[in-house]
Amino acid sequence: MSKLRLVGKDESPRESPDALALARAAAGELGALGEVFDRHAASLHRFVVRSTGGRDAEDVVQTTFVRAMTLASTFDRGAPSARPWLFGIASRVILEHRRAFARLSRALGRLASSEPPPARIETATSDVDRALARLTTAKRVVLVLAEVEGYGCEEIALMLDVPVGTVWTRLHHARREVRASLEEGNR
Amino acid sequence: MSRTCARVWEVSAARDGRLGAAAASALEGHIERCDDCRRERDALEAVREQLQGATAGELDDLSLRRLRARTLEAAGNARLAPARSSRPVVLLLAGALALGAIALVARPSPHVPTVRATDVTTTDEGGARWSAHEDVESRRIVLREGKVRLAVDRPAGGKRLVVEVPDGEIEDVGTTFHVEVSDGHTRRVHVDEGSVVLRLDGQPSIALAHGETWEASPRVAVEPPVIAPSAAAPPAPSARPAPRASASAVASASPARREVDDAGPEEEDRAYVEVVRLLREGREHEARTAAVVYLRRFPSGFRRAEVEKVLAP
Repeated sequence: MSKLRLVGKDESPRESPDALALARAAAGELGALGEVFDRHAASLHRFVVRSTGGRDAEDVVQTTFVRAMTLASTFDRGAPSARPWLFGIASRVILEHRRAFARLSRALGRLASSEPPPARIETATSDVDRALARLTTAKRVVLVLAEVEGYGCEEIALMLDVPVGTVWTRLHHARREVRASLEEGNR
Repeated sequence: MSRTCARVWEVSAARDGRLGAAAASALEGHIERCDDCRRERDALEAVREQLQGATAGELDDLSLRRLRARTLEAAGNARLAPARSSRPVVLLLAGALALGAIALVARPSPHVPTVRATDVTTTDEGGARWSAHEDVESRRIVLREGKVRLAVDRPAGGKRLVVEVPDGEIEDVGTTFHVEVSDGHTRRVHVDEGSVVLRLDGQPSIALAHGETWEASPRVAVEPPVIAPSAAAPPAPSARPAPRASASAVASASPARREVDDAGPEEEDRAYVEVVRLLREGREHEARTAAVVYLRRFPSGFRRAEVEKVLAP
């Protein structure tokens, strides 16, 4: 009778479920993208809402995953989770949307100079929302990533593809402005 | 007048990882003795707690499922688009290879119930007349009549699998599915596993996921190409909840008629502003037409969601 004998420890690198799914997505398997969506869409949506005030949140989430499909082959297969990678993509999409919105505002302003362009389509419902709404999108994204999502500045710098010094600066100003807004609301 | 501690800035610096381990440790001891730094630490912590406690508008299950369906449809369309744009070059290559009488394989097989290709199993489910072809970029099943079941096992980097039907085509995205054709028209598509993208002439493209069925009504075959505002309405013949008529769906209504717009963002803004202008002037019908034009020209435009609302009933 033969017996199985443990002759050594399997030391081959273990890929995370996200890495495996994204590898399949890179090969064109939509269902694999669906798996990644199921794991991360809800938290990604929360992040986008906090970073934008809810404006176009579903659009941003959709664009993020569509872009993730095209970028799937670039995902670091040793990474334990796709979450930071997706948050990084979403952050860039948010900033792109913001720039597009600014362009649109300018175009509308030129169209009807007598009417002011739509400034911000955002409904703040609490002191915190109002404080966040006063920040620029770039500062707001960094603040949410650091204080709500718990990422370190180095990680955020990698996500946004900016120097870590830029993250420190944005975070410093964002905290200061939010505190000032909150204190103003308390008076 | 009291002065604030000069080390207050170190509190946020420590949180952000700007201090070395020794400096951070020294700061811990200092904070216990310094009211200013302790207040700063508590204030930063309070901001964090308030930010974490703010509501973030949770998506309910249904919204999440709808978003998932839209996302996968858009991802499917985005993935397919580059392949389509390179088709002329690929066809030239295929033609050159065909001259060498090597690459193109045509195998009419009207009476053979099952033929296994390298990674495609095609099964006759009733009166099927079809042929299999292969070129440098794709495998193609040309289904002229009848019902077939296709099981596709595409390895990474494998060729595309496209089912050509008389009135369009169905692109596999890794799946098992059934197609029925009669009288020159596609009648039914059902997906067992995975998903497919159905593109019929004059119709928005439709992504079908596992368990979903598309069925035609007699009206489909004679409908003219969509150019009016009603173009944004979901395709009439559907036995499942109609897929959302997304911008990409409108844009890819037909490969032959597809309008690919390379215009820049300013052009996109102008198209959107035109919609807004017409709405403001109360010219609703013209605004809806302009909205359709926008969606066709900018299927992934930033204002797609707003423009779709213009077309909503």
